[in-house]
Amino acid sequence: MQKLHFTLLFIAIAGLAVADDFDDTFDDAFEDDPFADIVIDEPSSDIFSLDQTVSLGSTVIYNSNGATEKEKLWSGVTSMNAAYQPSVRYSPTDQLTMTGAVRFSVDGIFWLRGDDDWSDEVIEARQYRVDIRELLAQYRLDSWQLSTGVQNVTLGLADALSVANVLYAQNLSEPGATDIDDTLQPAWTSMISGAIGPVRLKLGSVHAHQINDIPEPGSDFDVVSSPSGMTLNEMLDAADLSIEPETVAFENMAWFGSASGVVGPIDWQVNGVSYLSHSPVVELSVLSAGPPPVIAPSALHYPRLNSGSTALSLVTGSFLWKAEAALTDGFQAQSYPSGVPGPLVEYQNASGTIGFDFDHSELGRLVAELQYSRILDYDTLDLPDSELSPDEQNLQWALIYRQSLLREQLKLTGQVIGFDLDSSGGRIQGIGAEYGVTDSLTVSVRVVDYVAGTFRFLNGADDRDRLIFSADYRF
Amino acid sequence: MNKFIAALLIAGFSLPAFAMTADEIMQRVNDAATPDSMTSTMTMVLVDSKGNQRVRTLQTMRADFDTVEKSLMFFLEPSDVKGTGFLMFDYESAGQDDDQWMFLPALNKAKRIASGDKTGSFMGSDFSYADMSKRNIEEWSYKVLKEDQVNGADVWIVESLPVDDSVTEKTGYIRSIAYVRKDNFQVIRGINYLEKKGEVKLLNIPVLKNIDGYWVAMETQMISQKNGNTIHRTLMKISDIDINIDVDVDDFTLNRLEQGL
Repeated sequence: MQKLHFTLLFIAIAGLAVADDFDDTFDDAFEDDPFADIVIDEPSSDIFSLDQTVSLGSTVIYNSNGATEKEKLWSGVTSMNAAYQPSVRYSPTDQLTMTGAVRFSVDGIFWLRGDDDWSDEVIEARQYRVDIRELLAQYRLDSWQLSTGVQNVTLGLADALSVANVLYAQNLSEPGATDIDDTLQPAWTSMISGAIGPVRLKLGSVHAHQINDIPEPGSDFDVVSSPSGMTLNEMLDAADLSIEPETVAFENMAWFGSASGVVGPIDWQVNGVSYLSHSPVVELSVLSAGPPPVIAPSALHYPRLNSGSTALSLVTGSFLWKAEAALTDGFQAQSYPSGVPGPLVEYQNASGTIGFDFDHSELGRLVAELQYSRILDYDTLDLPDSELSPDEQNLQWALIYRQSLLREQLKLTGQVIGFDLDSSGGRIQGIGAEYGVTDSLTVSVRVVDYVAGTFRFLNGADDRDRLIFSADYRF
Repeated sequence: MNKFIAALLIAGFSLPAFAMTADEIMQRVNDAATPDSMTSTMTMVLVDSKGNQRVRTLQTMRADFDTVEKSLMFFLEPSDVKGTGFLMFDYESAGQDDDQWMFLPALNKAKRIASGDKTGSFMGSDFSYADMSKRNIEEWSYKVLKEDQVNGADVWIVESLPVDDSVTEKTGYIRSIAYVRKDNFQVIRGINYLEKKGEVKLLNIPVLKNIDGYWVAMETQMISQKNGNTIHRTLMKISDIDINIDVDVDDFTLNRLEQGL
């Protein structure tokens, strides 16, 4: 009996000892309901919604040495932008959705500093702008969807330097001043997408030909690009040529098809794209034999390019490894068989991208990508060593680092894009911070630092560094 | 003396619940019936130490398929991320990392997200990605600490310790304590101890509702504390619930993710 008493005593004490091992902090924390002050509104209608954004922004070029007239003009505050963007979404049925977003913007710098500081082209391009960001109707039926309207369709799996994502023109008017994701220009596109078994399919057309936005005449990135000492814009102007997209016509449309899928940790994609070049081929002619011979642009061409590409990604732990390869046919350039402009020749270009994406909750996210492209059979093309002619090979790399702090309220970004492995082509590098003051108000600041190099847009770019502020209020 | 022994006897015999081992309790927690599929609207209110609130609302759909739970979510607000989507495959097997993809509507692009590390904050809230996934039961060892009552309900208080460092690396937790209701094997409170000394996350489920025989947490609260002081808190509330809806595997594909909201 004594033994039984002892055993029961031991069990009870052991039980109490276990209980004492636990310090219950719970009741203290929840003593006064810490969530009593929270009122949750009913979610807004899922049939119609209107979101509006008002933005204010400014750009300051802070290190111009004013060595030239243009540099004197392009120093200090060069933009004071205000914009309003309504975004509408209407979804009358589960199948049909219509969305639209239009940005109206005005740049006040032309009143603050006077029109004389700016070329007509710069004023026309920036003073008042209306940009259709999205105007789209989508109809969904089971696993198939038809969409038409102004939109972007992204191909490829790389983030920064994709060789597959060639459907749309880019905004290159102020290199580095726009987020890489925002450089693609949306266009009127129709697409049918769906799945057959495990394979996703996309087929579609970009109806309007697009041209890359290049620096406006008179802007600081409108740099000398020919031995004549003239900028490309000046050369074309003198020849009474202007860079205009081809008309909307069946033969000028871009076409694309894409198949993709997932096999365990691997995502794969195969794409085919046929499109008119987004940048013109400038054909030169001999106006007079000389000596010296007078050579000037005589025509602009937008050859049809046909590109096949494949992309793969593999996820392992916190790393996502990416690779893309593309072969593009139909590029044109002007040959110089005997030192003078000859016929246009066609060539093929092979290109590839490799990279990784490391994502860690504490260390942040690092994206690294390297892109290489090479003209095939370059030596047989008789291309001159000129800035208007393509190089035999190009190499670019990008490093992007992002870190979210304060529960994603503060986002820090650092980014470097280099041209050539040793950056001899130049670099665009920058750091930025975005702070979400509230759900409605976001402020950001960004520094873009240019390192000059042989890449045409970065020729003499050292003193064009920019400080970019913006504030967005959403309601 | 006899009285004392009698009291101890009562104390000792008040442990019949201990007849159920901690492993058995947590196995029952793990096996508790959940709907095969569910859609809902999830609203999270994020509150910082100064009382400033931020709201995240998502349209969610989840379903169980054999050994994987699949979920598809789209942001409804805030407006700057509206339409951003997530597709997640949460595998039952402890050795298999989740699959995750993110859809960016502005780019019309779905991209894979490396998901090896689940300690990060889910949408800026106090919930981590690990909190949003079902725990792999074999990755933890369990011990019943004591029995108690919470809001009139009898509970077991069960301690969970990771079986090895890789679990801590994946979840961020070095120790967890769960309050398990005896009547339905639902966890209604939890204390999660993080690797950083002095940091804990307190989970509270004040509103648990039985819908068609399934227990659903209508409200979930999470408080992050450092050295006993609250530094951030999140209230997660779900509404517009439909359970055991007619879904198939095609509703949880990259193709569906890219169709958008």
